[in-house]
Amino acid sequence: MSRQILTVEAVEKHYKTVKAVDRISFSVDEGEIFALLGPNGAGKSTMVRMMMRIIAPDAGRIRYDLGVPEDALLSRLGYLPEDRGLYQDMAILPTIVYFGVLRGMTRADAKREARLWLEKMDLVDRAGERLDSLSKGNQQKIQFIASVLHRPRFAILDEPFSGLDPINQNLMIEVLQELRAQGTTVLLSAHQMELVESIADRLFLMNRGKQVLYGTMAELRERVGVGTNIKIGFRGMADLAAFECHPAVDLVSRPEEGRLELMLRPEAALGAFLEFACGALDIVTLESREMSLHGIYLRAVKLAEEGDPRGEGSTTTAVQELEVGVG
Amino acid sequence: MSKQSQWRLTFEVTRWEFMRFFKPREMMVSLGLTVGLLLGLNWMIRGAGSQGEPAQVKLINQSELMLVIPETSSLAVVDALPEEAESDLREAVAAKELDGLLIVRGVEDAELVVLREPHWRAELEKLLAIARLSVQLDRSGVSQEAFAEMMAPFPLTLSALRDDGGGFRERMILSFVCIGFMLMAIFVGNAYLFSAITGEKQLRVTEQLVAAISPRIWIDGKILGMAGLALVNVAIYAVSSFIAVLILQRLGVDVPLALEVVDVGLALKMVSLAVLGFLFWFTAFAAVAATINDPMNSARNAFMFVPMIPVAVGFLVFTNPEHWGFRLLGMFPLTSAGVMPARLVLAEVPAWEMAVALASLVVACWMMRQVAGKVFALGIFMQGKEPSWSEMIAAARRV
Repeated sequence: MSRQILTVEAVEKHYKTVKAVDRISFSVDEGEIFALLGPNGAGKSTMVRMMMRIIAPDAGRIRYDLGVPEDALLSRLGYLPEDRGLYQDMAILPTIVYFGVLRGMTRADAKREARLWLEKMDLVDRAGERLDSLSKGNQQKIQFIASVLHRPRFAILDEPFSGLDPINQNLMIEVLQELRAQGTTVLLSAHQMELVESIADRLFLMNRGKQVLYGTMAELRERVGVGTNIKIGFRGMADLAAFECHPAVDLVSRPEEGRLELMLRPEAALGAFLEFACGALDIVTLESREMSLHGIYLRAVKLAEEGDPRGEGSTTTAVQELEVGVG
Repeated sequence: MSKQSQWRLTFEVTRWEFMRFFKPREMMVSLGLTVGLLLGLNWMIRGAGSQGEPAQVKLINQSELMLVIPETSSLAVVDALPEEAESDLREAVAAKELDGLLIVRGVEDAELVVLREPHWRAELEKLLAIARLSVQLDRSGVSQEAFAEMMAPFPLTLSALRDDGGGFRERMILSFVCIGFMLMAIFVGNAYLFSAITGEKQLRVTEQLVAAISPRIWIDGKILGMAGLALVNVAIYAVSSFIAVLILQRLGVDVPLALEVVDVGLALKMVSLAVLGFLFWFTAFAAVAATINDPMNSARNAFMFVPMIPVAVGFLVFTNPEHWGFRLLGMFPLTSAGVMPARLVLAEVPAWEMAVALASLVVACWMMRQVAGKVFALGIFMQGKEPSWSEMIAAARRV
């Protein structure tokens, strides 16, 4: 079993009119990429700020096991805040070096590492320029470099993909995988689920301050009980009611004329259903795949709102498991 | 974290903050401008005094007054010819052909006709008073020489037991200059600090920084860096002013500054007081600046000027440097930085008073640092609102 380098136990945070974080518990294993997911306002950034000791939780505990005393913790952590900002009128290289030095690097090491990172991010030619001469996306890359320059043991990255174009989002994914390969544990908070799905080892999904789902992708699928996703393109008329009543079908939608999207129940036999579909429709195209994280999340939120234990029961289970483990 | 690491990080922040705002080229330009401005001002004042045509004034004298106009006067008074009627001369003044018409009707009765009140009015009044005195002396039978002897100052011989140069007036001006430079340091420093702290909040680098260092190290480094910057600025102005004074003295201008009073010991005492007093107010302002949300609209901007009041008390010391009130204020940390340097120049200050002033300032600086660190940590994270004064006091009291 991997060592848990972060343990969050029943953490709560209240603001005047809202409970931003409501009894959240999870742990992060050494060497993994852990994703904290949820829509805007889910409580992710509040959770991250509490993890960084920027704000204190009203209840619960957040513990690190990085092999250093509490007052040396900051030098082992890397942090990319949601609130982006750098010294706009300063040159790029000295700014990165400054943040590296503040996290315990020597000036020479910080300078060497900064050049390597700038090269990796395709910005080395602009090292002497002022930050405000860079585009928003490139400034974001500089901020990312500043937060991981010192090779932290644990990097907490709040919305690392925000403001990046698709090419740079892919570059960021590569860099995160590289960080993990070098021994840095990564916790990232994001709302771009399709990006996170491809790199995260485990995920924690939040909504309105509460846990929605927690585990690996396979565990999430199993917990929510999702089947295969099928998209059908067809000619002519379709009897939608026949599909809605079919025992293998969980959800049906018709996004446009000549197209049908279906989610099958987990226990449904795909072959038998396809046989039925071929008889009911003049099929032109057919696409089948496992449900995306985005779909799983939406389904879990929907189930939770309907009072289905598959949607919110996971919260109770996870907390209970953790409390037993801690106790 | 070890003390060594804390000091190292504080130094790094200090260095960064200093370098962010340190612009040597601009400072050298301002140095040159200061010297140039002072020299230019002197040239203009001298030029204004020595050049220009004297005002043309015609005199209709119907009395026994004998008006004597010196050659250096800004007036050229000539007697009006008999054929020139008063009304013609009045018209000439109205038509700007003549600067003035002086009609003396008696020893106590004269009228000046001008278009607007002239700058030489006081000079003319003085000349008329001299002429009147002359008449009165003649009437009294007292000679001019006897009168001059009566009015001469008493020949008091001053035997100062400690003659370290400069008269009271020169020392007073020197004390004003010292306090002025300290006020300048506080003002310049506060402006830098204000811009640095509120700017950082607006640039949203706060979280990035506190993820690396504690707010205590941050504010310590920031205060030292900005203080260094303000002191370098003031030192540049002081040096450039000193150079300008030396040049003016070489040019033969009487600059009433008792620079000879300042020896190494006095300079050290004054610099220590100034730096500590500056740091005290600077630290207080750093805490307040961290609580400002919108620098354009916050009412707390006015706090920048608060330190001016107690420090400026030093300007009053010349009225009675040995007064018990000033002796007390010279040892009180809020006012000592302004009052004590003035007393050092103008009075005899016992060594123990100086020691108390320094010690109380050191303690006050340390206490203010503790309070400021807590208020800074509270304020720096607040976005969109300012903590109330009660929240700030509560934070300051927190252990």
